[in-house]
Amino acid sequence: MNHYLLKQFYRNKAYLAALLFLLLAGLMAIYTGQKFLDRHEDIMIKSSQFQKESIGRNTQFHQDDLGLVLYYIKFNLVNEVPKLAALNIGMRDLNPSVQGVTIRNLEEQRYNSDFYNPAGAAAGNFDFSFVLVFLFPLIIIAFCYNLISEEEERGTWKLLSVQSVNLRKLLDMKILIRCTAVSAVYGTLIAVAAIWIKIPPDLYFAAFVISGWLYVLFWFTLCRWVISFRKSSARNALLLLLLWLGMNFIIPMSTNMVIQKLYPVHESLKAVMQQREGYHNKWDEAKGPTMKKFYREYPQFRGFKIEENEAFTWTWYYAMQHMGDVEAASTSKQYTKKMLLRNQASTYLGYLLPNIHTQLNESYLSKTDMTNHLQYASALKEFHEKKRLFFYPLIFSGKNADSVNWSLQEVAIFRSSEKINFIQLLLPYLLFIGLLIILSNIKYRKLC
Amino acid sequence: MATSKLQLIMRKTRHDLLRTRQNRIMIIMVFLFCIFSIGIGYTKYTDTISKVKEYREEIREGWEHRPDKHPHRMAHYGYLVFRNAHPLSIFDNGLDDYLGNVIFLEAHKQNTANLSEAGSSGTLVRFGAFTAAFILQAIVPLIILFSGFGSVVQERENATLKIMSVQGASGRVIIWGKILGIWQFSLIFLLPVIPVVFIAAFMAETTAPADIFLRVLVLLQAYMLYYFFISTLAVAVSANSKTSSSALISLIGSWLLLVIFLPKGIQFAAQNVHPIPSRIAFETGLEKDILKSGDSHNPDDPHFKRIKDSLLNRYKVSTTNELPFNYSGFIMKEGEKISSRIYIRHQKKLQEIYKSQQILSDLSGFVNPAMAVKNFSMIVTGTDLYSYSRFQEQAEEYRYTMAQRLNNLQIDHISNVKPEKGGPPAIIGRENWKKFPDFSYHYTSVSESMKKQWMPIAALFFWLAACIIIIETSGRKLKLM
Repeated sequence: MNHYLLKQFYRNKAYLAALLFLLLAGLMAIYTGQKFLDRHEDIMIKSSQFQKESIGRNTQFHQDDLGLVLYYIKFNLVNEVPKLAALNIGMRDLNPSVQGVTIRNLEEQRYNSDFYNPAGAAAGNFDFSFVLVFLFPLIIIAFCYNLISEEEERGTWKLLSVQSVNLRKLLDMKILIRCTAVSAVYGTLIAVAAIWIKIPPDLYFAAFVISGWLYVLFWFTLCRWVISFRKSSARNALLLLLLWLGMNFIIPMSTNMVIQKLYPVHESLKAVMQQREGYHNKWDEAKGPTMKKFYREYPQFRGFKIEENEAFTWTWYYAMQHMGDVEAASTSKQYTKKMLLRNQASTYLGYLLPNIHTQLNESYLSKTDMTNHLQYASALKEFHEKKRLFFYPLIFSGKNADSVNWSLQEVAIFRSSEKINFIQLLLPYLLFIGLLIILSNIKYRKLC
Repeated sequence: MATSKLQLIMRKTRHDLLRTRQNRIMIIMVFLFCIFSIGIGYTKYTDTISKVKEYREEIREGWEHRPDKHPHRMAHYGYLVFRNAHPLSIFDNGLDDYLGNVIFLEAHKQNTANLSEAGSSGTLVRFGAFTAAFILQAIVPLIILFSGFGSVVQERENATLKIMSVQGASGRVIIWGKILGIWQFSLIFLLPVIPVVFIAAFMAETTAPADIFLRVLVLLQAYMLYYFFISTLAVAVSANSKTSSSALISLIGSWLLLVIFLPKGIQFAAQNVHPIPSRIAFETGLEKDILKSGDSHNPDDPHFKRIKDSLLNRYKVSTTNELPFNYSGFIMKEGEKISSRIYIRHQKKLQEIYKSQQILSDLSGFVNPAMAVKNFSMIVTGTDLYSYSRFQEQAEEYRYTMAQRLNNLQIDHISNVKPEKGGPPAIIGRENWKKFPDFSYHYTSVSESMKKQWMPIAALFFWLAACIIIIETSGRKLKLM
C-alpha cells in the first residue's frame, strides 16, 4: 500500500513540477546570497585600500599638521558578515556593513547608509529565508489541501474507508510522503548552500537549519488540521490561502504600521540637529566653558591649556566637536531605545506567528537583524572614542604626521558573538506543532 | 450585440454576487480595513508633518540668529532640508519607508538623504506597509477571482449555459455580460474608498485640493482598468476550464504569479542586471576625479596654482594678500564649481543605474498588469523614485546656491590679511543671514511625473486592448457543453 501511495505521488507531474520550482527558486536565492557576499567582500577590500590611500595622501599634504590630517582621514569599521548572511540578508542591504568615521563628531556621520535603490529595497531581497518563509508554505498547501476532499469529491472515499483498515494511517502516510519530498528539497538546498557558500558547520548553522525545518513541519501539521474538517477542496484552498495571506501579509504589515505609529523615531533627526547646534555654537562662545566640560570628561587632558584670546587651536576644535556629541547623547540614547522597543514588539509577534519567528530567528543567527545593527552602532561609538583618545594627545601636543605609525591604522573588524537560546528559538514551533497534532488527532478519531 | 440580453446577464451576475452574505461581509471588511489603514496613515502623516514643520522653524530660527560670523563658518554650519511626503502617501505608501527625509547641506560636501523609516526599523518593515493601495492592488483582486472562478464553468456544469444560448444569448454576450457584471461588483470595493482618500488627503492641508482631486481621479481610472483586467481574467479562465476547481486553482496560481512572484522577481533581475556601486566605491571614484581636476585643499595643485599666477599677473601684485578681494574665498568658489560639477556627473551615473532598474520594472508592466498599476499608483501618489530624485535635485541646487553666495560674501567683505592676534576678527554682520531664502520643497507635478514615466500608463491601455481581444476570442469559441 505504501509503495502504491509513493508511486501515486511521484507519477503526478504537477507535484514534481512544484518541487522543481521550489528547487529552482531556492537556487536563485542562494545565488542572490552569494552575490551579496561578493559585494561585501569587494566593499571590504576597497575600504581598506581607500583608507590606506587617504592616509598616504593626507600625511603627505599636511605633514606638519596632524590636526588637519585627522580632520580628513576616515577610519573604517567593518561589521563582519558571516557566511550565513547569504541565506538571510535581513536588513544588511539597508544597514551598512562598513562605516568610515573621522575623529570629528560622530552623530553627524553615523546615520550614513549605503546606496540602495528604494524600489528594490521595498520589494525585499530574494534570499533563502524568503523562499522558505513565503514559497515553501504555498507548495505545502498545494500538496495537502485536497488530500481528503479529492477522494470525497471523486467518490472514492467510501470505497477507501471500506477497504482500508486505518484511514488515519493512510492519510498520515500520504502527508509523510509529501513531507519527505519537501524536506528533501529543503535538505538539498541547505547542502548546496553549505558547499557553494562554504558555510562553516557551527551551532548557528545547525540552529538555522533546524528552525527552518520546523517551520516546514509546522505548515504540514497546519494543513493536516485544516483538511480534517472535511470541507470541499475549494474551501480548503481558500482557507489555507487566507491563512498564508494573513500570516505573511496582513498581520505583519498592519502590526508594522501600528509599531511605526506607536514608536515614532524623530529622535535621530533631533540628535543630528542637537549636535550641530552644540558644536557650532561653541565658535561664538568663550573657550573656557567648552574646555572645562571637556576636561571634566577627559581629565587626562587637563595639561593642554587654552588661552581665551588664542585664535585657533586643534585642542579647542576637537573639544568643540566632541561637545556636539555630548549634547546630543541623551537624544541619541532615546533613539536606540526606541529601536529596541520596535524590535521587541516584533519579537513578541513572532511568538504568535511562526513565519515571523522564523524570519527573526534566522536574521538573528545570520547577524543581519536590528540587534546586530545596534551592537555594531555601539561598537562604532567605542571605536570612534578609542581613535579619538589615541590621537588627541598627539594632536594636542603639536606632533607632526610622522609621529604616528600609520601602518597600524588598518581597517578594524567588529565581530559579535551571539548566544543561541535554543528554548526561545525552538519552543514556539514545538508548541504549535504539538497543538496542531493534538487538534487534528481529535478530528481524525471521528474520521474512521 | 443584443444590448438587452447583455444588460440582463450583467445585472444578474452583479445581483447574484451582491446577494450572498459572504460577499457583503467581504465588502464591509475591505472598506473597514481601508479606513483603518487610511486612519493610521493619516495620523502618522500629520504627526510627521507637524514635527517636520517644528524642526524646520527651529532650523530657520537657528540660521537667522547666528551671530556675526565668517561666511565660511556659516557655510559649514549648513542647512537641513526636509522632504514632506505627498498627502496621498496616506493611500499608497510606495517607497516612502525606504526614502530618506532629511539632507544636511553644507559647503563643498554633498551629503545624501538619510534617516529613512526602514533604517530605524527591524525586519518587520520588510513585510511591507498595510495601506489601502495594497488592499486594492492585492487583496481585492483575489476576492474578484474567487467571485468569478465559477462564473462560466459552473453554468456549464449545471447546463444552464446551454439554456442561455437557446434563449438567444451568444457566447460573446455571455462573456461580456459576466465580465461587466463582475467588474461592476468589483467597483463597489473601490468607489467608497476613493472619497475617503480624497478627504483624508485634503484634511492634511499640505497641497492644493485641485492637485489632490486630479490625482485621485487618475488613480480611480487606473484601478478601474486594473479591475477590468482581473474580471476578464477570472471569466476567461472560467470559460476555458473543464471544472470549477481547476479554474480556481489556475486563478489562484495566476494571482500568486502576478502579485507576489513577478514583482519580486523583476526587482531581483533588475538588481543583478544593473548592479549599484557601493558607497565606498562611489566616494573613492568621486574623490579621485576631484583630485584629478583640481584640489583646492592641496597647496601644490597645478590647476589652482595657475589661477593664482594669472590673478597675480592681472592685478600686478606679488602676493595674494595684496589682491583687492578675498583670495581664499575666490579659490573656494572655484573649488565648489569644479567639485559640484563632478559630483553631479557621478550622481547622474548612479541615477542612470536606478533609472535602468526602473525601466525594467516599468517594462514588466506589459507582462504583468499588477506591476503596471503598482508603478502607476506610486507615480500618481508621488511616492515613486522619480519624485524623490526631484527632491534630491532641488536640495543640491539650494546647497550650491547657498555655498556660492557665502563664498561671494567672503570675496567681497572679508579682508585678505589674516587678523592679528587680539585684533578685530574677520567676520560679517548677522543681518546677512536673514537674506537667505528658506528652502521649500515643491512636489513634483503629476503631469510631469506621468510624462517622464509614460510606460505604466501605456501598459494599462495595452492591457485594456488585450482584454478586449481575449473577450472577443473566448466569446466566439465558448463551449456550451
